[in-house]
Amino acid sequence: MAKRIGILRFPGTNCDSDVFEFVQLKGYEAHWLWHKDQYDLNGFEALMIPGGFSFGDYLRSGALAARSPVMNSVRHFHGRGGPILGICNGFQILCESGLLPGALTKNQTGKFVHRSVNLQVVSHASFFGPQKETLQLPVAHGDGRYVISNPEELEDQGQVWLKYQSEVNGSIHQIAGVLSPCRKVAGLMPHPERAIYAWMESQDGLGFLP
Amino acid sequence: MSAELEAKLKKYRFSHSEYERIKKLLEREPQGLEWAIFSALWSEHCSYKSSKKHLKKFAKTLNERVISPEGENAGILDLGQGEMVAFKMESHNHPSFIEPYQGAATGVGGILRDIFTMGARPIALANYLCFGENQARHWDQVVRGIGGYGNCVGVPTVTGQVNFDSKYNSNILVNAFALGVFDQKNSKVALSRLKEPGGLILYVGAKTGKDGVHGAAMASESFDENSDSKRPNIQIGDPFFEKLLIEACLEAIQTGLVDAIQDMGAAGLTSSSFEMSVKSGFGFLLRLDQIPLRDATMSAEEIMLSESQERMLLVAKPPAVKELMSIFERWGLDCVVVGEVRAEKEFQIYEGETCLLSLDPKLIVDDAPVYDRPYEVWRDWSWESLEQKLNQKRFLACDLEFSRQQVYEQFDQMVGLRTVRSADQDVAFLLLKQSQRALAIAVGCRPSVMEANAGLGAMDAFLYPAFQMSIKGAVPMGMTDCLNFGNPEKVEIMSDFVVSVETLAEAGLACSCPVISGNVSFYNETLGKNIISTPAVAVVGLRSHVNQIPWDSFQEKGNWVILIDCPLVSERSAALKQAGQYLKCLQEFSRTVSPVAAQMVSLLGLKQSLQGMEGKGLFCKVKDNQTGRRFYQVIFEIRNEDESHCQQVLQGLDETLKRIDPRASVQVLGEVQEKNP
Amino acid sequence: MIRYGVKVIPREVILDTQGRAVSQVLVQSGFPKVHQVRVGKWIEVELNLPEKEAHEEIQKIARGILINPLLENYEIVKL
Repeated sequence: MAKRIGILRFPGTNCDSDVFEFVQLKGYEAHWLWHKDQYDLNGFEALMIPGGFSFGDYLRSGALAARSPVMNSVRHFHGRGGPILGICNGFQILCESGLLPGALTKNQTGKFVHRSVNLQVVSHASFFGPQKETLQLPVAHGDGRYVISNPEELEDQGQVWLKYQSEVNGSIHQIAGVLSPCRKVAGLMPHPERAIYAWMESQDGLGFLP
Repeated sequence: MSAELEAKLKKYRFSHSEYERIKKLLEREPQGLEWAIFSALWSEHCSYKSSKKHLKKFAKTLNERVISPEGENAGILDLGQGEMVAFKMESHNHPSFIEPYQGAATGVGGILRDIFTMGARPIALANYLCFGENQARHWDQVVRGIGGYGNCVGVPTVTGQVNFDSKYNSNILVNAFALGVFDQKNSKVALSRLKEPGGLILYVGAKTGKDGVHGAAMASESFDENSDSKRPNIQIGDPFFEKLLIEACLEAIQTGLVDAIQDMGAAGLTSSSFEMSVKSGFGFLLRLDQIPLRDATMSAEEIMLSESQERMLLVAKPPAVKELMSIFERWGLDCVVVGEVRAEKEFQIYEGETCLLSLDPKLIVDDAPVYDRPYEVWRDWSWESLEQKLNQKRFLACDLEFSRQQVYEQFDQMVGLRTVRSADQDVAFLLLKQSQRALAIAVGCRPSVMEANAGLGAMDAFLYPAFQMSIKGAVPMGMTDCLNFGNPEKVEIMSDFVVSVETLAEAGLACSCPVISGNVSFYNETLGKNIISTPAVAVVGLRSHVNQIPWDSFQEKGNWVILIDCPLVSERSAALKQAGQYLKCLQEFSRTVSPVAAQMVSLLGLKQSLQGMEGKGLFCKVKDNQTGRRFYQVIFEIRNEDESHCQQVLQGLDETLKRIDPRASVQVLGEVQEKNP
Repeated sequence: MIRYGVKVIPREVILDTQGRAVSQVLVQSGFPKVHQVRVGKWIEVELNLPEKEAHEEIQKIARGILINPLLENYEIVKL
């Protein structure tokens, strides 16, 4: 039987089908997890929180989603050591829910940015690849500027996962992705699921799922 | 006529003859709500009274691929292999001038609803924008509005066009295009026409507020910010709500329980309910006290005219209502029964036990005035004089220096995992997931060509994007138009309009590219100044696969750069016949040769166009005296490993082209060279 | 130096999309008595002017730039 990955869906999530497609492409069984419900996630290999505009990004990006019932199941899953990946809005939700350090705020330019970026892999997550040293992935976000009061500490502890190789949104230390201390929870602003087919600019996204 | 009546005619925007017509139809004075309802449905926007007569000319372009039933929200095209798409383009010019962010955002929201109302999932957005001089704030806000809505709702914005000309100083153009695909396994096309009475009317989505009520009347007056009541009530778009509405409506339509569905657009509840009733031939009974309101102080007239966004009207049989309600509830949306569909033809509006209106809706919709406004027949089809006029044209600096990137970077172009070529290229290509074919989208209409010659400009509005996609191997399959014009009561503007419609219809017929949907925006006029007549067109094409789609810029040193000249004769139908042949010939060439890059020569000429293809440190130099014509020339970058074979292919192409027009030619301009570091 | 606070709030007739989303989540999160939420902004401005001129200046700033009169109302509070 194929291994199962749960994909969270909030009102306003819009990369859900894309992540579903990616997960299936890698040979996993994909399962929807609805924001209003709570689940027994025994037997799930990993969870993914796709990008989008959960609850319209109102109040703060990810803030309202982080307080949804399904997040209790996510915390429980995390407590048992399950790996969780947040992409874009999913990253914002993980920061808002305290599962990842720091916060994401408006891009320095004040504008949404869609672009292909080069990334450097600084340290490795425990479940979610990638094995390469540098990556090319697309970004598409309005609130992608990563802020944290003690970035050096984060770097020292190996929790900085990915860095932009050039200026994108004003993130401190050009941080594009971070890890929890246990490295099981990972969040990034770029979209791995948008770099999986031969006709795309890059296929570096494939490495994010083992 | 009494002053009181004069004031009433002005408020409800009726001419004297229209007022007489209403009295004759009703056989009495109009009363109560009737004023507002006649006014809304007889407006140019809802009734197409100045354009209807001419729009019928598009019917001849329809072919066996078109399956959209008449009078529905958008046209549907059957692409074969079980794939169907619906698409349409619509204007939101005036609201975007008043409040650029919200105007542009609600324009995107409206066009998306036209698509998913039919049961198609929106997969692509595009836009066509025209601004005047010194309108940095307007265009910044419009771009943010389009992005703010499209990005959030999760539909990629994949292409578009931005023009600058002082003629748009007091009337900007904001046209939005959307395209949707039908689910193959469950391709239910949803209609607004009912087959039988007896259904319940469901109101779905956002609550009704005073949005847009009397907004237009106030628009031109300056407003006093201290007086809340005098300010126009801008419609606010909520893409988050729209996303929920898309998912919920598509889910509801797939159950097969929805008998009819219509979005509430301009003139809100009035136009949606009357159109459904008239098309179906059954009377509606609406209960206004059941309508979910955001503002309890709203009058019946305000409720009927409100343009609150993200609302739909559905009809379903009584036993199906419970299941539909549970779908909408799951998505957190209001869904309430607000009336019923009856066999009697009378349209009735109740508030509690009081009947506010009861009349035959056909009186309003079918008997709306139709105007045959005076125009002159277009006679100037000379390409030579067009070229000369354009030689003298001075383009605005902001037009020349404009970078597409700064706009399109603000749009999510990839969500949905279909975008093979996005807005940094002239033509967008999207993957059709079932057949693995590629869908091409290109937007056209060059205002400076329209200004110089409206007949040729309209032809160009279709031909330029059709050429752009053909040279990249895509066959144009259908088009939609958004006809932006000034005051149709002026002969010269009506003449531009008529020649535009007739030319697009001729072009569609000659190139087997049906006009499947469209929209008219008249009265783009301020203080007697009219915009350039601007019939924006979006062409949708099909390519057999997504591999090796030619790029816009040079790719590899040593490749040949060739120039193909495709001149047209100075007569409409003969020119369009030639164009159809050129397009076929170029599609074939692109398929067999697989050029690395392909570009049309722009209005700025060959030299500038070659410069535009530079990138990655590559360029191609031509002699300065190479000028040539602009209508139409193609630049290809092709591989030349086997030179003699290449020469042979080009020789063959040259012969084919010369059979279309003896002046046509193919020549090798030079090689792609590398710039010195 | 004079400090002013400017309270910016969406006009009552204008749909407050943010307020609507926040109120829905509050109701779902165990605060069923929440009837309506409106989300605005609070802006503080310090002016280097004598009081009488400052009062006029802050009015101009608020009306001209801080708010969009089509969408918002405002109140000025001296701090």
